[in-house]
Amino acid sequence: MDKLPRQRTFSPHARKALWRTGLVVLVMVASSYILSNNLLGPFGAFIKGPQGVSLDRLTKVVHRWGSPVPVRDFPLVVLVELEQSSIQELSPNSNVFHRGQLARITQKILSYQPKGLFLDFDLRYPSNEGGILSEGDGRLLEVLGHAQVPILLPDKQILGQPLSSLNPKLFAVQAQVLYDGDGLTRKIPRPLPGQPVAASLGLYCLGLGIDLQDGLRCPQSVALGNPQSDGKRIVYREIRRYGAHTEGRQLWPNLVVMGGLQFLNDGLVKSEKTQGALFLVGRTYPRADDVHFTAIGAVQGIDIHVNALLTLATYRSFSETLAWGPVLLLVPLVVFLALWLTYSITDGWLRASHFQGFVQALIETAVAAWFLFFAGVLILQYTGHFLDYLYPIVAFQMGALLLKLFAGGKKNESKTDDSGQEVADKLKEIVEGTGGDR
Amino acid sequence: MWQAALSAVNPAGRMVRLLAGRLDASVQGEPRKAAPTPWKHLFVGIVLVFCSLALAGPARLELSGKARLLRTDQSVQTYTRNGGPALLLNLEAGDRLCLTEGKGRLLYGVRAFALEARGTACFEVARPRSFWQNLVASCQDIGVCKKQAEVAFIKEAKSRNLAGSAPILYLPTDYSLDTLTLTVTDGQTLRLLNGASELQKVEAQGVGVFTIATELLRKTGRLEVQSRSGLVVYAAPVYWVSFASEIAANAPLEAALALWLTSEIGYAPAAYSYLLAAGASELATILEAQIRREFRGSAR
Repeated sequence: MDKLPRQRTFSPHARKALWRTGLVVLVMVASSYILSNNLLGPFGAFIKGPQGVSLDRLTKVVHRWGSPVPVRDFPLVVLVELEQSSIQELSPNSNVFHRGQLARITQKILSYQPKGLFLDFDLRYPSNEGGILSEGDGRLLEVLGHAQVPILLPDKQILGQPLSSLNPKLFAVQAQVLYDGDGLTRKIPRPLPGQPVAASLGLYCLGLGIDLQDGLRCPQSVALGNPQSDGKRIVYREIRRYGAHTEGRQLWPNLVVMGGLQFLNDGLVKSEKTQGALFLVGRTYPRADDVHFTAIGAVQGIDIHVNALLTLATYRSFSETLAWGPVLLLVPLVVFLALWLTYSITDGWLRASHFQGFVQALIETAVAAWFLFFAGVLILQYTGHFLDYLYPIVAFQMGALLLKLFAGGKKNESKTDDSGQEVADKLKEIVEGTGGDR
Repeated sequence: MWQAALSAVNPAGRMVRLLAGRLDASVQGEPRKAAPTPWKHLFVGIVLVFCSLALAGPARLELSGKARLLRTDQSVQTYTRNGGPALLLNLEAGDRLCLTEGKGRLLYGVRAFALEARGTACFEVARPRSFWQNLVASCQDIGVCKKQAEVAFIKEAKSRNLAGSAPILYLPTDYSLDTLTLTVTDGQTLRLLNGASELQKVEAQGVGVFTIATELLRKTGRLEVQSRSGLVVYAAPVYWVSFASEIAANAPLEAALALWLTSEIGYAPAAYSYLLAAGASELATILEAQIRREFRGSAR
């Protein structure tokens, strides 16, 4: 910030940008305050709607790019997915995935001494009707009953009995995804007192070595941000699937994705890195069974959990908007740079153009909006915060309007009138010119 | 992509699953990595993007046998190790390796792949997606560079409106007859295509009646029927579908009815062929009329 006054003496564009930045920040702070305290009541929806759409655009840009590294010492995350070939081999002709095979996979995962394991399956009832346990059910109960590491399950009941009676290491988590009003999944649900934590938050805490039995410590491990927002926006990244016998990188640096069959065939090396990893097991076939809509398109349920977990592990916060510190430091800087670039283009390079009147009116806001959008992308990529670039743009327009209102009535008015006349004259010239040519 | 996994439960409680091949077979890794604080992230990220786009982690092969390695520049190298400790070989992004003799163990990060000359012999390290590809894709995602997508969409909608929605030819994987009978109104020649190559040309026997060998259909990706004047009257992909039926259909009539029950027009030619084989001519005539009505136009 202390650099900014020095720029003032150098360039008139910088001075203009600085002055406008002040306005933008003032309006942003005011509108954030109004929105976060719900001062507009039901009318807040008018702002929140377009805000959601503008933040989705940030998600769409970021989801194709690699992520920064997660929190120091955060364990490896292994997604064991039951895809088509695994299901056809391990559990053919069955609607419910074979419990005996699930027990095999669980047993094998336990041999890696994981920090946590999440089984995204409906295990409330035995495989057979009438509550009769099958052989596979029995094996699964035995494996889960003797587990020494925390295992997260979506329900409080397992194969007809309560979780706690089987093993105190089994925890129920919230595995449902949260839908917004428009049917899109955007957020990790905020932890509420007395309710199970979200699966991703539970795994995140286990990754940090926090015991889930202490119900309060886990939600406290992340910055909770604004208590009135209902959750943390997920930073989606594409979970890449490669063809048979092909392998490549994932966009989340410490994520490993592998098929259940490959995992059973010693596909995961036993090493220092894999010992104490976090495991997620879920079905991704048939694809239509557990698919949810997000800003980036249709995503499998288990992929949403993985993205949510790695969002927490990488960006460590539960707040949707930036805290006051960054708002007062980072945003002015970014807005200033964006506006400075804009004015350098519109007032500087394009000044000589015959269409300067046009440029001023039409391009200025558009160019500023694009620079602010890219600023939003960079802030999301590296801090995980969704900077609402819509605020600065709206604030910018409102600021310009205010300026016009207050900056000395008549003189300014006649000026704008003149420029309007100029534009009209130029248009006339052009039209007549082309007409004359023909 | 999930839409491709067509899954329908019919009233009889049978489940039909379309074997949706992995559509995203050749997506690649991401080279970017960054350091612990946000501004360092930014700096390191930018430097990495501009300076080294090919940072995909190499895979390592422990070879005891013979392997053929196709490098990214299309050069071929052959490695042999008979006895003694395994030969260590590093693979870079874009390399494709095939074992021709013996065994090998491939390590990619924490993942291990067992390779054998018989069975799973080949492995490929996916090429990372380039900065430019990502940029264009992101640009299309946010709808700025949507011109091409828009044009493509209009084209598709147009062809659909003009030609009607063409059914895809579905065949159950356990299809037991040697030939398939397909009827297409005005059809004169039928071309079986696999990618860009033509497998065979079949001439119509009756009025738009084609008899196609099942063997050949298994290799076919797409078929195209042309009228006498050379106009394409029907073009669609051929999908082999794993048909999880509760009843093992041994008799052709049973098989035909099982397919009929799906009420999915794509199965109609297979059901029709079964009906002909069972000698149920009355049912076959009804189905033939429906096939003639529906099988026209082109599908992607």
